[in-house]
Amino acid sequence: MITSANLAKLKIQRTIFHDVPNRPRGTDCKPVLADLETQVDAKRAEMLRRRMVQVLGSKSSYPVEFAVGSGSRVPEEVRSYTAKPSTTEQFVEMSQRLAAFLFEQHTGATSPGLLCVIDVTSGAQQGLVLLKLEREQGAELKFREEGGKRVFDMSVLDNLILTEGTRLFKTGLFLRTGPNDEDFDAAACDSQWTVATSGDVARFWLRYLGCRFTEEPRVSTEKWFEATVRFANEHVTDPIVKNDLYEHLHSELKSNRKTVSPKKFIEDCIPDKYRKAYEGFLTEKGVSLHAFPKDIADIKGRLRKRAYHTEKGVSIIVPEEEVQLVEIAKRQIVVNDQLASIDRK
Amino acid sequence: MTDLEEARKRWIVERPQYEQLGFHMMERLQKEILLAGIWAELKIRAKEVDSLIRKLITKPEHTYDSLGDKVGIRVIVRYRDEIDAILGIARETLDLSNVENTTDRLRPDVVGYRSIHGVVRFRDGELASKFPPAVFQAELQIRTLAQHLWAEMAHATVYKNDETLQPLPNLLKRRIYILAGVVELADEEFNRIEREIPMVPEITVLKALERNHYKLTVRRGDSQLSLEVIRLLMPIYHLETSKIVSRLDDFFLAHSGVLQHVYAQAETAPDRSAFLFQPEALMIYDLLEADPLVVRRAWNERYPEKELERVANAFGMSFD
Repeated sequence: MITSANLAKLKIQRTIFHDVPNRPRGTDCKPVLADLETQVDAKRAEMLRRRMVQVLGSKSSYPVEFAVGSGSRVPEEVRSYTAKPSTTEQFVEMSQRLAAFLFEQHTGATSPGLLCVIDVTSGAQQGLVLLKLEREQGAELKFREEGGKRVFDMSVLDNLILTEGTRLFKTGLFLRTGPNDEDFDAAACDSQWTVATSGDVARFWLRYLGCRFTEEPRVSTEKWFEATVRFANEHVTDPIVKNDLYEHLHSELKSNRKTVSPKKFIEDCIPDKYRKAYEGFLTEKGVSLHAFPKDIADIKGRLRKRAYHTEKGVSIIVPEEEVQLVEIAKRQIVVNDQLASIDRK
Repeated sequence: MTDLEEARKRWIVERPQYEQLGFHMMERLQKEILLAGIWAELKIRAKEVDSLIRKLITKPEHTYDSLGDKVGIRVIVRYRDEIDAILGIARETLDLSNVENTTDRLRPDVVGYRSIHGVVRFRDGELASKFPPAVFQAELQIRTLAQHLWAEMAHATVYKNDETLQPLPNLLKRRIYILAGVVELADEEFNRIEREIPMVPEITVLKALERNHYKLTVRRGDSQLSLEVIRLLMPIYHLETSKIVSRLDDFFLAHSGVLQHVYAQAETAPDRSAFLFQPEALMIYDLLEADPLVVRRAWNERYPEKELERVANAFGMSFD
C-alpha cells in the first residue's frame, strides 16, 4: 500500500504530455503525441509533486493492484519500464504507447484529455505516475517544435494541473517493490468515483490502468462495518455516544455516496476522545483507513434493522424505517410503540 | 628560506587540489556534526597566492611543504561546551593532531585571538589514497560565535595582539582591553545561560526539537515563532513534558529516513512552507500523523491553513 512515507519521498525524474482527444464514430481523430519530454523547472516540479501528494494521499485515493486478464496494456508497460533504468527515448516511447492505448479506449462520449506520464522515484523505488487531465474542447495547449520534434510547453502544467481550483484528477501511481511482476505498491484516484455515476463510467480509469481495488469492495465494506460495531460495543461506554455512532454508521452505509472514507468518517462522526482509539482499532482489525468503494451486498440484511441489547438482556429489534420510535437515554431505552403480540411474531 | 618564486608557482598549480581536500574534509565533518544535532557553520578556505607568500615571508621558519594551514576548515559553534564535542567528532572522522588552544598562548592580562587549532589528515579509505596523509594536511579551527566576532574584528586591525596595540595611547588600549573582556564575558555567559536556562516546558521541548532539527539541516529557525507554535500544540499531547520529549525523540528515530529525504529535497524547493525549516516541524509532523483534525483546528486559530498544508504535503500527507 502507498504510504505517506512513499509520497514524502516522491521525486519527479521525467515528465511528458500527450493530447488524447475523444473518438466519435466516423471521424478521423488522432492523438497528438509529444516526441520529447517537457522540461519542468524546479518551482513547477515542486508544485507538481505537492499536487500528486494531495491527490494520491487524499480520501479519494484507493489502494489498487494489477488485475489478471484485464486486457489493459498499462501493467506490462509499467512492469517493463520500472524493471531497469531507462533512457529518455525509452521513456518517450513507453508514454506514447500508453497514450495510444488510452485513445483506443476512448469513445465519442469520453472526455478528451491530456495524458501526463511522470517517471518518479520514491527513495530507492522506481515508479510511474499516470494522470489524465480532462480539458474543455478547444482549450489551448501550447506545443512547439524542437529540431522537428513536438514538445508540450511547461505552461500546460500551469493551465491544467497547478491551478488552485483543480484538486482531483484521474491518477495512478505504481511503485516497484521487488523484481517480480506483482511486486508493486499502487494507488489510483478518480474524482468520478465519488459521484453517483454508473459503475462502468466510473471504472473507466481503473480498466485503463488494468487494475482492481486491492480488496473486494463488499469485503472492505463488511470489515469496516463489523469493526465499527465492535468498537462501539467494546470501547464506547456512554449509551448515547454508542447509539450516535451506530446511527452514523447506518447513515453512512445507506447514503448515496459511492465510497466510504474511514478517515472522513473519523473526522465527521467520531468524538475527539475516541478518535485515536478507533483508528488504532481499525488498524488492528486490518481495516484500511484509506477510502474504498462501498458495496453493501454482504450486509444488506443487517442494514434493514437496528438491534439494541440492554445490560439486563433485553433485546429490541427495530426496522430501519421505524428507528425514530426508539429513544436512547443514559439509563433507559424508550420504545414509543404499542404491544401487538407476544412470544414469537 | 623557501624560494618564494618556486612556492608561488607550486601553489598556483596545487591550490585546486587543496581546495578539494578541504571540501571533502568539510563534507565528512558536516555529516557527523549534523548527526550529533549540533548547529555549526563550516567554511573552507585555501590561501590566496599572495597570502601564502606573505605567510612564508613573516614565518621564515616554515617552508612551502611544512606550512600546515595552506587550506583551513573553520567550524563555528554557538557555545563553548560544544567545542569538545566537535573535537571528538574530528578525532573520530579524521586524523587529528597538534591540537592547540590559542588562549593558552595568551597571558591573562593581554588581548588576542582565541580559538582551537589542530591539524587534520585523512586516515584511511579512498580519500587517504587520493590525498596521502604524508603530503596533504589542513588546519582545523574551532571557535564560538563570540570568539569569531573578535577574530573577524581583529583581522587586519590593531586589535590583533598586544604587539599591534603597543603604539596606541593608553586610553585607547584600555578601551580595547575592556572590549575584549566584554566579548569574552559574553562568550562565557552565553554558555552558562545555555546550561542554566530555566527548564520551562516549552523551552525543554524546543531544545529537544532543535537537537533533532540540526541532524537534518544547518538552517536555524525563528525561536520566538517556535515557542509560540509549541505553546499552541503542546496541549494536544495531554502528556507531561518529559514524555513529549521522549516521544519526539522516538518519532524522529522511527521517521529519520523520511525526514532526511524531505529536508534534502526541501533545501532547493522554492515554494516551501515558512514552517518546514522550523524545529517544531517535527512536532507538527508527529501530531499530523496522530490526529490531523485536532492539529488543523488548533492551527487555524492562529496561522494560515495553507502553511500547515504545505508542511503536511512535504511529509506526504494530504488534506483532501
